Amino acid sequence: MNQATLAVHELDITFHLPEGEFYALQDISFEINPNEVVGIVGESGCGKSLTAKAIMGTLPQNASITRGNMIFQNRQLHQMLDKDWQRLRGNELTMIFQEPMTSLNPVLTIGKQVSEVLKRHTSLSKKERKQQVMKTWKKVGLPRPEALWKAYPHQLSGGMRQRVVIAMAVIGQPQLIIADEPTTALDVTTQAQILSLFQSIKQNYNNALLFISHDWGVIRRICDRVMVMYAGRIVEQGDVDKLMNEPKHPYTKSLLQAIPNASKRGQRLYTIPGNVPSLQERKTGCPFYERCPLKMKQCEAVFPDTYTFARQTVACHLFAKEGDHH
Amino acid sequence: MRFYLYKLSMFGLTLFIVSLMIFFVFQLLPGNPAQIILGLDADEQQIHYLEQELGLDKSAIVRYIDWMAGIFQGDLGESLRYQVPVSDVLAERIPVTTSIAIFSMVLTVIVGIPLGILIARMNGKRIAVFLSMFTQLGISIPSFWFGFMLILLFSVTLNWVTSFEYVAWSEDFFGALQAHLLPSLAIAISNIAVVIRYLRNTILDQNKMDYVRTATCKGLSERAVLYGHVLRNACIPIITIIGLITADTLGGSIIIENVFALPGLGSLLIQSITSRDFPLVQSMVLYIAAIVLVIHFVVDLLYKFIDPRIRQGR
Repeated sequence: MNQATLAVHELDITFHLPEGEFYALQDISFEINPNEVVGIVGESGCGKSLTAKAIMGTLPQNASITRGNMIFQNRQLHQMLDKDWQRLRGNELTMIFQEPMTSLNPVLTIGKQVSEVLKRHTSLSKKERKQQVMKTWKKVGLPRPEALWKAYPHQLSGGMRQRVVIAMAVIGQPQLIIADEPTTALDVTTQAQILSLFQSIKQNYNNALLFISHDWGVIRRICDRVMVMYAGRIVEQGDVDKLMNEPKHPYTKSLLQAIPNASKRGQRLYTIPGNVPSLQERKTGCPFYERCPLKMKQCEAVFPDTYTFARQTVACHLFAKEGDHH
Repeated sequence: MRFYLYKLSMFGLTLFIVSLMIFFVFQLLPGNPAQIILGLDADEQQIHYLEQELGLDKSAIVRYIDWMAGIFQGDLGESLRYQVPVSDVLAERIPVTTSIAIFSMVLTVIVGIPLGILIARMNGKRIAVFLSMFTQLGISIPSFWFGFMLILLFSVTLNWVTSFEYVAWSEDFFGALQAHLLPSLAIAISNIAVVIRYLRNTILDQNKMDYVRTATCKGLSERAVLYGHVLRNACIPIITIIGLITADTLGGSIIIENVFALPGLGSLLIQSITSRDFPLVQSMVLYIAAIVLVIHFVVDLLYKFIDPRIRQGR
């Protein structure tokens, strides 16, 4: 296999709170290859967005990387200085956010905000920047570029704003785009349009994409591979179709069972009992122990090793005998 | 255009209501101006003549209409105490207060805004907590205390400022600078503290906004995010607070003008209320109301200039 765009290896992130030190992410390892779309799913509070922040170098002040490393295009991300980060962000590494309504600056024109990326990272002239911006707008399906150039965010719909944010993210032809629930805040029709846009971006730009979502439908449509996160751990990862058809981890199974669909009409919707344990509640054993329908004695005290089945890995004691031990 | 017509009519209406209120409130105040001018042992006859001369024997409504009609002809009436046209008295006092106010506002802005930005940038460090404590002190200590302390320091101890006579800028530049500096500073200190706190809090609030995260993810430096994105959004609350402070200082500070023996509007207002000099008081209150309205109008215009959402009426 070629060299990965991003390789995260045994990453731990700790929150330094007045009550003490708490692991927010533990032992996170994954790779994203060029041209690949990798999804992260999980309930709220599982560490999906924190993973994105760690990669972007925008962790909150009271959080830090306490173990492991991230290698992006041969560079050790966690050792970089602010200056190096600034050169990387917006250029080789970009991000798309959940809230299109608030992720643009309300007092600056759309033209200024998008062309700012080029101003920061290229030596193009003002005129060239405008041409480049308008070319990108066309690619992301934004109409009437001249009017848009002078428009302000409040004049655009949510879908249009999200396209503007996407334009900002792709304009520098980055190696990796991180999209943190980019369709969650949009209505269903717009959601479908934005998803098609992501598919066309995948074809037009040869970048890798890390796609965070809690919507399996979206994940299945967009991603090649998917990671399931629970309480700061990756509990299962593998190819999307394989994983969704044959989930191994009890948590993945529960998540997939909780998707409403037509064949279950009239039945009570399945929900996973309990909540994701908060930072302070996490113990040494499997974090899903409390909610797991198949829990065993050893689950309470020891976090399971990771077992590999072809291209699928799972961290659960149930597979101690079957899988390849890691 | 409709905006300006609307603002203009609101301006007129507000001033009209203010004029009504001040006029009739003063009718309710106890104390006869003629009696006060002539002293306690004046006889009935004298008081009666003076009342007639001053027009005090007419009914309140007639006097209000007379006053209004005078204003539209540029005649504010005659001061009962000084026996000269009110406009002459005001023309003497307004420049003093305005000059002090402008000087102190300039101080407030050039000191308060950079310090507010600086403290916001140092947020999280121990020194920022320390400086925040100072701004808290600046807000809570009354300005006359600063006035006394400044006099004590610059005049008594250091002997730099020797005279407290008011000097206009047109008379003698350095003399005027000396006369303006201490009172302006005394007014400015607490205003500076207010501006610093407001700006710091606004910047920190704005820093949590999603657009800041977007700007950071574009690869902009912390500085570029602050100056290119955050400050523009922080402008609106800052302009509001600076507008309020400006309107307040232009009306004259009663306490500071007394501490520094300045012949400004604040001290005049107190004197004319005690001497029941109604024509003077009425005109002064009307002037202060007009100033507040004009400042608010300017603030509205600035909002429109800065925020496209307000500009386009949304």
